[in-house]
Parts: sequence; C-alpha cells; structure tokens
Amino acid sequence: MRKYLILALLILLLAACGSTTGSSTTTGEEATTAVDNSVTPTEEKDNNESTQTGSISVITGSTPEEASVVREQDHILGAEEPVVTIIEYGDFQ
Amino acid sequence: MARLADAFPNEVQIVYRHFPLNQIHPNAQKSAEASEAAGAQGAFWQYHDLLFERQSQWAQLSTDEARQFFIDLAAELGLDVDQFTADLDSGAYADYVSALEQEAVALGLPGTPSALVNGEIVAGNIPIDYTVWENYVKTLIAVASIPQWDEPPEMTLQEGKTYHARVKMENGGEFLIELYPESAPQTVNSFVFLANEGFFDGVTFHRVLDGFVAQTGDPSGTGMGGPGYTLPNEIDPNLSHESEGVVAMANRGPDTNGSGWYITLGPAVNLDGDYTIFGRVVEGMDIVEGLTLRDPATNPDAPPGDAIESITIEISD
Repeated sequence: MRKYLILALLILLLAACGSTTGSSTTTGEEATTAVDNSVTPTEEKDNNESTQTGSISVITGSTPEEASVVREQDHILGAEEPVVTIIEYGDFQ
Repeated sequence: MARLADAFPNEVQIVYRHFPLNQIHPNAQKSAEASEAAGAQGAFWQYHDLLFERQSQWAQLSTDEARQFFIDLAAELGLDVDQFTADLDSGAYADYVSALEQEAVALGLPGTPSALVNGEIVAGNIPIDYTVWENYVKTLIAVASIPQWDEPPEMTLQEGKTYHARVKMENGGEFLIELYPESAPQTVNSFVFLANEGFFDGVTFHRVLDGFVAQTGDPSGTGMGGPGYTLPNEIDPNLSHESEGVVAMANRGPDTNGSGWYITLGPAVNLDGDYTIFGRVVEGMDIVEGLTLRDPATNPDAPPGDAIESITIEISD
C-alpha cells in the first residue's frame, strides 16, 4: 500500500511540471547598446558531443554560440541569408 | 514562427529542433521521431503542422494508438507508409531526437517553446503573441542595418580647439551644441567621428518626454542599436543636469555608452553621476523644445520622431 502511495505521489509530482508559456518580451529603451547580430560559423570543437544514428550524425552544442550554428540536418524555413535566425525548440504540444 | 518567415522572407530564417518533454508528454519522443521520418520523405513541415494542429487527438493516446495515429498521418500526406513505419518502429531517429533533447537541457532551456534568436536564448517568457514577435523581429532587422565598428575610433581631437556640432533637422530647424572635449574626450571623439561618418543622418529623436529629455542617436529608432563598440562613462563632477539643454550619453548601465545621446528639456539632477555629459545646446534651444513628443514605452506604434538631416562638426580656435 505504501509502495503505491509513493508511486502516486511521484506521478503527481511529475504531472505538476509543465511546459512554460510566454509573456511578452520587451525590448529595452533606456540606452543604445552595440548589437552584434552576426552569426558566424564556429569550428567544430572536440568537446562537443557527437551522436551517430542511422544516417544522421549531429554535433550538438552546450552553449548558445555552439547551438546557434544552423546544421545540415535542421529543418529550415525562410531566408537563405537571414538577418534574424530563430531556432525554436519545441515538442508539438 | 512560419508566419514570421512569410512576413519577412528575405530577413528571417526559422529553424525547428526537437525538445521532447518526455516526463510530461508520453508521446513526445515518438511524435518527434515521426516528424523526422516524414522529413526523410521531404514532408517535415507538413507533418509538423499537422502534429501541432491535432495535438489534442494524439497527445494522450496509448503508445500503440499514438503509433497508429502517426502512421495514419503519414498516409494522409501520401508518404511511403511502409518506409515511414519501418523508420518509426526501428527507432531510426531516436538517438537524433534524444541528442537534441540533451542539447536543450544543456542550454538550460526551461521548457517549450524556447528559442535562440540570433544566438541569444529567449526562454521562459517567450511571447506567444505574433504581434510581439513581429515587432521584435522588426527591431532586430532595423538594428542589423546599422553600420558597425569593432572598436572606438582613434583619438583625433585637437588639443586647445573648440568643437561645436551643428544639428540640422529634416524639418528645417537647426540648433548648435558646444562640445566638451576636456570633460569627456573619448565621448566627444566618438561623437565627432560618428557625425563625420554620417551615422546620425536620418536618425530620429525617438523618445521625447515633455520636460525631461529628447533622446536620439540610434539609427534603428528603437533605443536598441549602436555603433558596435561601447565607451566608458566619463563623469565630470563639475557638470550637472541642472537645466535644459544639457547634452549627455544614454546608456544601459555603467560603461555601456554607444551612440545614443539626449538633450535635457528641464533640470534632471537625478541623472548626475550616471550619464556622461559631453556638451550643451548654445543656440536653437527653441528647436529642441519644439521636438515632437514621443514615448515608445506607452505608444510603440507612434509615427517616427523628428529626424536629423545632418550633424556638422565645427572646429575653431
């Protein structure tokens, strides 16, 4: 009985964790700040994780700079030479 | 996001990566794998759209039911169902999806949707309103068009000389600023450089608050743009925002001065010590006082502010 109670509590705990939804993002107003919008390809680094699966080999990144590099395997819409690159992480729900 | 790509076809690129929330969404992993299997047949985005549209239909299905749902979707799109099913059942894309999940976790993304926008994480408070994104993208596009330098210009101010900046407005008005190179040499040097480069030509007074300040200096007109470099604060304790006509640098904290500057429209001594004063208006203050009021914080859709036609630097003994 106790085992089932603990299991139920664990399930409730997991159910309480939810995906986040957003509130508006505001842009600053007070000052001008230099903005470097260039996205420059980074060299592949040895400490990046590499995963080989089927026909897809992907090097993922653990920093925004590394993750910002658009990869061959990525699903892409829009400009080929963008000014703004938006990489969305989603789970279809 | 697709709407943004449609709205800005030459400027915006959307990239989708998986971040299956497997602990709370039981079919998240398999839905991601299914989309990859569809993508292998050139139908990722169609499949992506259908998954989102019909999430209520598959999210709570059992594993077997969800599998069938995903296969049925592939059939609906006219894909090779046998290949799709084989890919799905073999887990051909399982490791790939997991790798992207691990990447999202390593980035510290709190959930979905999260995004990297030009290399910066937008997460947790990601806007779900399209209009907010549209305005955000417009700002980024405007900022991206600003000329950039890697570092502040070399010092070219001549010792012992007097510097003035004659500001001509597009509406015909004109005012004269006396610059203070002895009090703020780097700031004045940068201002002179940018003026001579034509950096301020066409730049608007995007923020004009009655009795407070008239702010300008950002070609994007948003307060977010700059020249690509920053300057340290140069605070002269002998100078004060004690009256109208004081010219000083806008910033977002100490030593973050770029190209933004403002003119006081009244006393503002509360700004003393935090903002580099580098000049004052010595002629044409009536023109400054006549600038169109504009507060982007309360009315971001207001028409652009009054624009500078040119700034000419005058050097005298």
